[in-house]
Amino acid sequence: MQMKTIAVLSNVTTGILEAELSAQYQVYAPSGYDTWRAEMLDEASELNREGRDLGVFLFYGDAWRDNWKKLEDGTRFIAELECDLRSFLMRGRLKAAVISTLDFREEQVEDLLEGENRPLEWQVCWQRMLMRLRVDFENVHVYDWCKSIREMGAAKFYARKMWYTGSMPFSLQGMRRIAEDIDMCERGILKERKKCVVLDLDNTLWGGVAGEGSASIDDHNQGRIYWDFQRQLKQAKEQGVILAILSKNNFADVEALLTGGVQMPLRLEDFAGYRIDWEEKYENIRLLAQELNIGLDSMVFIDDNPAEREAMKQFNPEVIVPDFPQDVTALSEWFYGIYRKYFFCTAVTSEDVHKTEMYHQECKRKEVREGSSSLLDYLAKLEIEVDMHRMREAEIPRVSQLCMKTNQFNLTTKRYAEDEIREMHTDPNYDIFSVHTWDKFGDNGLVSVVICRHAEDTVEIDTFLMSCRVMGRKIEDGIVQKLIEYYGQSFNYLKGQYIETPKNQPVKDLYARMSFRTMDNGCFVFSLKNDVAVQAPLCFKRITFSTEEANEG
Amino acid sequence: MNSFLEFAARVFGDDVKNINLDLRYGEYEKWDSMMHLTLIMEAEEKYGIEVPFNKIAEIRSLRDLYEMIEAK
Repeated sequence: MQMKTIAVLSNVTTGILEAELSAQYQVYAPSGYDTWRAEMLDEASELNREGRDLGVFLFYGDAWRDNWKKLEDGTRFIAELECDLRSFLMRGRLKAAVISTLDFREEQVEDLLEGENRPLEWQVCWQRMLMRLRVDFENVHVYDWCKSIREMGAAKFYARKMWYTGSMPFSLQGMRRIAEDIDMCERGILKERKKCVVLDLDNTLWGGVAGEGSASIDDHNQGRIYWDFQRQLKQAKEQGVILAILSKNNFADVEALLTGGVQMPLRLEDFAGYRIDWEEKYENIRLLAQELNIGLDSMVFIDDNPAEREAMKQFNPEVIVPDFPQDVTALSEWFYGIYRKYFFCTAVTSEDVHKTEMYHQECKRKEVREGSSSLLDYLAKLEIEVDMHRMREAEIPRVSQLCMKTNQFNLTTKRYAEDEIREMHTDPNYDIFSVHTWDKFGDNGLVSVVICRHAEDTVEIDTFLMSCRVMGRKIEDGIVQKLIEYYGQSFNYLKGQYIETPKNQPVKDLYARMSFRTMDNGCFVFSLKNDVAVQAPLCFKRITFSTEEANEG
Repeated sequence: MNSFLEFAARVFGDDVKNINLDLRYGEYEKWDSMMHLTLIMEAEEKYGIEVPFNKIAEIRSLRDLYEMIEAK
């Protein structure tokens, strides 16, 4: 695999950090001390000449402080910096930019004369700048290194001696932490995060054993440890991580705890799925994966029992199985590490927030399916509504998210970051359509994306993907019909492509099924003037299609 | 001493056969000013020593650093 490219821009020396990062990335840093700003502004600089996956901006407050004698010195500096950052970000040389929060060391003698805490004011001012940049640039992410510094302790994170010797304020440990954080940001932004935490119950989610009546989450059995753990899990759930239970227990005992009068942060409805019986967990997890329609490789299994963990690793090597902490008082801290490693993300979409709810609706659909005589009968009972429209500005994050992570129903598997989507959005040769669906059990959200590029008499479907949670509902039939109708008015050919990956077998025959003719190298063509589309019976309650530019005032 | 040379080889990112106590700061191509700081920080961490600020510039060869560690 090709190494990701990363630019490190900082107002202090970061040589050691660059060396640390270069094991995994192709690292670029402007040469010379504090030259990052000039590089940003100079159109011909190496920084501006080449596009890169990630730009990391690390700013050490104390390096500026000598020039910030009064409050407004700092605020003015920050305002000017914001202008420079904006003009650099506008050039679009970075797929993603990660900008640090601003830290000041706490060893200054308090200035009581001005009656204000200047570093704090500057930090607030900085924070506002970051928020504004995030609103205006989807590819800007905030790296809260103040949090890392608090966690490690400033005394450990910084090394005065290094600052005076080499203009490098961090200790070796601090440097490693930054490298780790950058790696985490990169995973969260550019790669796929895991989807599901699969949890054991007894002595994992609570202290004690449900079946023995000793399970509790109050002061007995170190209950507060588990209380904190549950709260963290709940928070993760709200950021789009799905939770599931794998437990050897009697369902009734568990149900009594998770729905009954016992107060705990997590309730049964917080879990997207569960298998609570006496079957082997390594078998049950496969059923769970099937039920939730996710891969085993997107699951992280948490169990206090080493034998269960071992069996899981042996039978399902795809599942991530972290060691459980020996000392349970470290549970929260440990899980935070797991979260950072596998689930970290820098932005949540509304789909993420409602994910668990959507899985619950899916269960109800399954019940309808089991009581239906045929697929069409089932689909009709779902009362599906489809709205296909030209992508709106506000949908860019979700559209990019789908491009990044959809594997199964994805004809070409092109991974587009937000800025690339934005670029196509403004390019008149591209049409981006997003598809939103509902059924009688609820809103599925934005579930499908089609990106078309036209040249002369041909429209090429560059990207056609659909979230796996609505696969098998013939929504693609409706989408293709609409594309044929729409482009038939002014073009001759509609061209599709299938680029095979290990995961997208389900859509291998899609275009052939839609009466496209098979050409060489995975291409399919439909003649808009001559070919007749197979009119698949559409089983939607309603399908709407609009190509109007949305009015987004 | 061998373990010290292995340590230095790891820090320099070089093969241990290229490492000896007579390597000098500024002469051995991998040992520049940034590497100098790295080497000292790594040594502090590994050997639990504290290289005083005013001694940092006095370390000119691996032998100097080794002696400082031995003298601990």
